[in-house]
Amino acid sequence: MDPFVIGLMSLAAMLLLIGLRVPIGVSLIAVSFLGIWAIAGLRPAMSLVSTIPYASTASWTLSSIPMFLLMGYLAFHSGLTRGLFEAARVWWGWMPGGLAIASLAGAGGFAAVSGSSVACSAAIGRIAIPEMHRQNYDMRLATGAVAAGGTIGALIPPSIILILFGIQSNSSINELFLGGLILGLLSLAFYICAVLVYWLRNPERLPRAQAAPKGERWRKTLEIWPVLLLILAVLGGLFGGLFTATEAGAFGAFMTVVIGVLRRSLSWRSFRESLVDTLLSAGALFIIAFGANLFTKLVAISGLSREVSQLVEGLGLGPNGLLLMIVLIYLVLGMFLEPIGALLLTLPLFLPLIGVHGIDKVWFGVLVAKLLEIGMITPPVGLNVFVIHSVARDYVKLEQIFAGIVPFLIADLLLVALMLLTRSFF
Amino acid sequence: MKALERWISRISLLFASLVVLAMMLQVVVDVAMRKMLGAGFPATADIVGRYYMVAVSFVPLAATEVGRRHIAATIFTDQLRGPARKAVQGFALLLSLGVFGLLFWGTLEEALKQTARAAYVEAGTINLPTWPSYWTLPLSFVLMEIVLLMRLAEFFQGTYRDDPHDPLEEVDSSLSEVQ
Repeated sequence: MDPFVIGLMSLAAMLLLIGLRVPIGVSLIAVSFLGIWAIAGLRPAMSLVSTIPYASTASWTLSSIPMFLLMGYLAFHSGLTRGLFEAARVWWGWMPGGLAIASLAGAGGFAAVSGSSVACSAAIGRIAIPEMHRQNYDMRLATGAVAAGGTIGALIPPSIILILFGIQSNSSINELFLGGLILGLLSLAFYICAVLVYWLRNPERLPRAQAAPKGERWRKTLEIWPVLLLILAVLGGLFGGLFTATEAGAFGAFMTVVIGVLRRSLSWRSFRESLVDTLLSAGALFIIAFGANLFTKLVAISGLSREVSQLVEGLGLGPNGLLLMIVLIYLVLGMFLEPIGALLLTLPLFLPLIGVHGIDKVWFGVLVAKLLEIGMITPPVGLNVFVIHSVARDYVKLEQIFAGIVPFLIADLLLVALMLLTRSFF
Repeated sequence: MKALERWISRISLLFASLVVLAMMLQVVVDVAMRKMLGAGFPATADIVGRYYMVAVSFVPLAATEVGRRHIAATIFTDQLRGPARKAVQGFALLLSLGVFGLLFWGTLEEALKQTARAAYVEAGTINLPTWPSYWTLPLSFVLMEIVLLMRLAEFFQGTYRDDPHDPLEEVDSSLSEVQ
């Protein structure tokens, strides 16, 4: 059979397996193995399966992922990030929609120590949602704001998605992080605008809270100095060239332990929990990364990427049409798939196309991270919305949270449109 | 069976935890030494990549399955009930068993090969042996197979459940402590 046909069938089979609830890693490995066997024979297939698990993970650059995971979990479990919402509330709570704005700002701060969007939403939501309920906020917008705020977690460095993209596409993680920082802050600004627009249209639904006294402001800010110091040290050291992106994770994790021990907030139990969470996340992630590596080989051997790019060339889309198509594909995939799976599944096909059209890889990586994060809040599968629902079950129904997402989704789509129009970070 | 499951999970997580901590400390020491003494800790990049990362990537596999944290798309099958649901569960289990069996076999052969040739890398002035690290893979995959076989036994006994992992669990346990 024609290798290209086998490649296409493999792609279809993989989507089918994933749909049938086969774990994504297993689907990737099974289909790639069978596909390579069918094209090149059993011996090469077996040899790839024997060597790639080691080759794809024995990587210095990849080590930043467990380290950043550890840093995020440690900061969280030791209560380092607890005061972020409070500090943002005393500063901005008086503004129209101030509590929603404060939860967005808190999420932005959390994002700078954690690469996970779900953890970000849950942590801020736990504290902010009851507070907004107390102040008679419209609960749809309140929960929507927290779910959307969480998506900033995977943009502002550290970001697991951006590290994975950097490794797969061979681009500079520092540059990706810088791009992610800019786009993360822009997203934050756009979300705040979404809250303000909502308030302009429905002022009664976001009642104003009282301004906090001046003394209170500084006291609350002082409470979060350790986390500010951590953010400053890790991002400063990273962009200042003191250490590489790979080393920054280890440094950040170490510093979090030191801060936790000095403040006596890191108990033995939370230390152990952070380690376990790090390892279970790593276990779930690296089997997919290895599967994706195998799948990349299949895509290359079957000529799938060449044929697909010829097909796309034949459509005469040009770079803009191509990007628009890719954006739509990611938005649809994001509705159903978890971001890391969707990323690793698609890069083998998309990266060659991007290269042909001379589209900047770093810019593209940050765009993809943004699109995948939009998938975290769109129905039917929006992990951030699910986690917020678990947190706020007493106040809202799942559909109401999805309704509350709408203003933020509009803001996101505007931002993506602007990115496509300017082809830069502004 | 639950005891065996817990035991596998505990031992592998303990081992991998030590590796994660070693990785963190060694990288910090390396950076500090480089800045202060002008030369880093010998072979850090190779030790981290070839030993620690391999262990961190694969040793927690079985524990991840025990904690039901492997990532799958549940949206299309959630509505299934009765025999259809059973069929989907059984299929995913058997396919996983097959895949990890294959990986076990392949990486075992590779480990034997690398051991026979006493594989090493040149890191600066020292030769760092790498062959022991290849054994991490078949060991991790065999633990995964054991956990999957227990799942299959549960499946045939009718006690198997495939509730997706609640994302909140990840952050829940210590939040109660924090609040």
